[in-house]
Amino acid sequence: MRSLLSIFKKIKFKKADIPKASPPDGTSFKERYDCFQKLLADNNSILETMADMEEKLSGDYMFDMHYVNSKCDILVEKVQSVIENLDSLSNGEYGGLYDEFEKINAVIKDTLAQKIEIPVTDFTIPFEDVTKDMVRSVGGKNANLGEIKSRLNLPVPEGFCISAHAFKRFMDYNELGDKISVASLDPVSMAELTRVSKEAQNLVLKARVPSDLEKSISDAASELERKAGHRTSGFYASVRSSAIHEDAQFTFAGQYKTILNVAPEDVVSAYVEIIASLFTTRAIFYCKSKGFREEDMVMAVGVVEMIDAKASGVMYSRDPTDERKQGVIINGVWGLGKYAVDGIVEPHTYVVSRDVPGTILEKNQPVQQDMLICSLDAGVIDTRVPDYIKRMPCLTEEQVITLAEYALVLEKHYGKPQDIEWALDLNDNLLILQARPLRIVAEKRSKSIPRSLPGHKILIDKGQIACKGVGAGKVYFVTKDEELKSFPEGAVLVAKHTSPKFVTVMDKASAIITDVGSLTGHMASLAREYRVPTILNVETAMKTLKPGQEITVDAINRSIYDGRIEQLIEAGKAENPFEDTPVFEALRAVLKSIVPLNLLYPEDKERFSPKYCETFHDITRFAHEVAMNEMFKIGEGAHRKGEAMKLHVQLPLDIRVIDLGGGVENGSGKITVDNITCIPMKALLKGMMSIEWPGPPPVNVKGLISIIATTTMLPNPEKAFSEPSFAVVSREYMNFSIRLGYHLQTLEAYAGDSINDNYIRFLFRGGGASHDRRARRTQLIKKILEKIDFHVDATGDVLDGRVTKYDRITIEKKLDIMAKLTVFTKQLDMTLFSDDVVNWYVKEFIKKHYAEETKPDT
Amino acid sequence: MAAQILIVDDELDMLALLAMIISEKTEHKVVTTNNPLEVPELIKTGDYNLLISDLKMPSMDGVELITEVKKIDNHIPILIITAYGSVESAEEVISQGAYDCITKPFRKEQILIAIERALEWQKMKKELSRLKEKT
Repeated sequence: MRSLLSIFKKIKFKKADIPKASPPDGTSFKERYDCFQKLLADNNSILETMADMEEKLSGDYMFDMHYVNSKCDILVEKVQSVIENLDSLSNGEYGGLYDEFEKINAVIKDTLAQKIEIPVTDFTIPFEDVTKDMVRSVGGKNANLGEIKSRLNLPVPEGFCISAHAFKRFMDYNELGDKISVASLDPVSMAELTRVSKEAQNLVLKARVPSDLEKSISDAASELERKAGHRTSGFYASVRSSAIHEDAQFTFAGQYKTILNVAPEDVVSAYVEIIASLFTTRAIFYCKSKGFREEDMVMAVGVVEMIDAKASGVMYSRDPTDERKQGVIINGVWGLGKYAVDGIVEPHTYVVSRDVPGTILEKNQPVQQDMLICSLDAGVIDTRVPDYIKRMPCLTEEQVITLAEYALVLEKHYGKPQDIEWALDLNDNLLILQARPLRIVAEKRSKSIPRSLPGHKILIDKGQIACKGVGAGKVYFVTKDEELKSFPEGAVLVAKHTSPKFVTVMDKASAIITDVGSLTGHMASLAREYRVPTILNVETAMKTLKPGQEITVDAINRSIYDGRIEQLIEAGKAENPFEDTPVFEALRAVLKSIVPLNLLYPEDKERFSPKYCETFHDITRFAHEVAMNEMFKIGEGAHRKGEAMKLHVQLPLDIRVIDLGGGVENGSGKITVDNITCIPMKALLKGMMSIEWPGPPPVNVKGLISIIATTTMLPNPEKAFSEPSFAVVSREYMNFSIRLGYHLQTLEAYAGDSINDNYIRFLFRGGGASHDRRARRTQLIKKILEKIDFHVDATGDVLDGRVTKYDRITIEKKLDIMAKLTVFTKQLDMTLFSDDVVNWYVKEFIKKHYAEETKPDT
Repeated sequence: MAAQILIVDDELDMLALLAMIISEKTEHKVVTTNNPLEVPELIKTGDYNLLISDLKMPSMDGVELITEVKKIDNHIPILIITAYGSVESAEEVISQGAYDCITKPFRKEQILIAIERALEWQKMKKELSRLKEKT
């Protein structure tokens, strides 16, 4: 894909060097609009995919790595498409996005593939020098056992690790990396899997261990024999796999080989056998299906003194079926622990109190008939339990209590309940053989939240949940960006619209409520990332709630309660049983390169640029914002276009229409309002035709002098009144540059089915009167636009207003008001001799045309 | 009524999570194995009301498993769990005689509903064959 992308980049950059077509011809309008539409569709698809992936982190779903990989593939494809379409739309102005995309994509790939660098270490490392941070050098199992020995001083068998670096030496020396190829293997084909597996294992088993590695292993084995000599007369070892991935993100439990009771001189050959087990069909299947690359298949090995166990077993630091039970559970059998682990014989069971040290709460000691023991000539054998012990407990009470103490030490050290293998040697020494997190602790507590809580007043019970949870705090209204600076810790953010800028207070907000918003919008995505309980489209929050009022937001049932309700807050604390699973971890890790948003302020030209894009969300937001600006510009070239159709309409305007597709019915020759199928244009024309257009404005003497004085400064005053207004339209889109006397306004709108796409942008400049009157008109329009929820920037006589993310019907309603505003303000600047007049006109307009929408909801 | 459910999945995490969800939310008894080759023997020796199986497993896939299990017990409903987006496999397993097929990702409630439906179906099927025998 990279090479294709590079070629594409080259072509695009070439295109960018060509001077921009000026004016754009009809085809380029269409092409650019098509790019814009594709970009909008991809943008939505990306936001929806992100929302879907974030939802999976809620703990309500079960999913697998295939899901994570597939969703990432979709995102990669769509983000790439967004960049390509922006590139076409802007004539290659934002080529820098490709570089940022490639960087982010590389991080995602590495995260999914769990790429592992093998640290350079000695070939063998004794357990006393190993800690839990050395997973990449010695594998998960070894690192854990080393930690227990070196940091906790609990008794573990003597042993050493054969490092990942040694594995690399072995593979390189025999050139096995080149000979074993699983890269192109289809894991679903069992026959192929078996063939490749067989070949690979043969190659490994026939390979030579390089002399330096062989010497290192033999020396370490001799040293181990010396150290462990006090325990047994004849020394044997158990040789175990400790793959690098094994206890990292993915569970490979039971995939690889363990060889018991190995004589010192056979450790090297056992080592090779364990390496070969990296390529069993089962293990290859796992690696392939979990998306690992073959270079990431790395095996370290542990060589541990074989404990000729008198008794052995497993213990849990908590009851895995009910974590509230206060007991350590110890299972044991006579002989080797395999029979306890595999459930072949019924084990002796002890429950020891966690609260009262030294108290055995329960005991069950069945008669044991069979056991597994080390044979004298290596290997293990099944034998009958001698009669004199088969009815006896395999542990003394003192030993049971000591084991329970070890379990609690391990749980405390790792901060999680532990699953521990133990053994009792022939000299009655207790030893820890392995410890790992006790994965499944079932949660039995019922924490359902009722739809409405009796005795508490529900203030609002509608809206859409963007992020589940319960939060409580004092209401804090955000109507302007500046108000975010003083956002109080723990408050509930209440706003009319969603804004990605809210992310700056998401670590402080206990909940978010907005009257309008999209579940797949930027802010909703961020709320899920920060896990802030959020309800959108509440409609009446700004009217119903009061600043400073204490509320509880139940974003599980969509209820907002008066006051703080501890019972709900407690019940809303979601515990997620999936959190520790590897696939969950992988999703969370990969989302870090996808969801966070760093490009918050489009007005900050320096930072709102490709080089600051660190995630796919950044790229998408940047592209969406820039694409809207690029589309806005297309109206600028419209007046030079020869194919525009004249619209015959009862309005004092000369309107010419350019159809990009679907905006005009029977789009040839004479067209009337009935032929217009463009949703925003129809709404606008309907509004313009519904009111009476003003006649010549009342001009007092001062006003007349003012306009005459200004007019003489205009380059071509007659032309200003007669120039046509151009509308570039499609079914959902309109870019309408309206010339009304001396001022020019551009009204752009998108009104489709997805609220993420919908917006209105309004640019207004110029006028015939003096500067102060033009500025007053700008202020008047600003005030009216803000009443109808526009975000407006106004400087001098230039005004830029925008409203986004409303449903189609609301956009149409707003366009109707915009139409009336256009007519209302026509040449109004002549009359605006004081600020009081401005305020009077604002009130008049609102009263006349907006009264319905400002009525409080009941 | 509490039923006995056998779950087979080579992915230990998935196996454990399924077992946990079922024992947490229902009264049913759950037996698990990560080795599909053991399933026929377990079905022969145990009295299971439902089998839940992953579709893609290295030693025996879900489709083969359905065939093997149906030879032993034709009444037992089999719920198959498939990977994300594999609609074709879903159709295949249903045509092979699986009771239902659930695609990952799925909500916890989805599997619980599917289990109850399958158990209900098994009960009805048993009742029907009892009545048939009577008549």
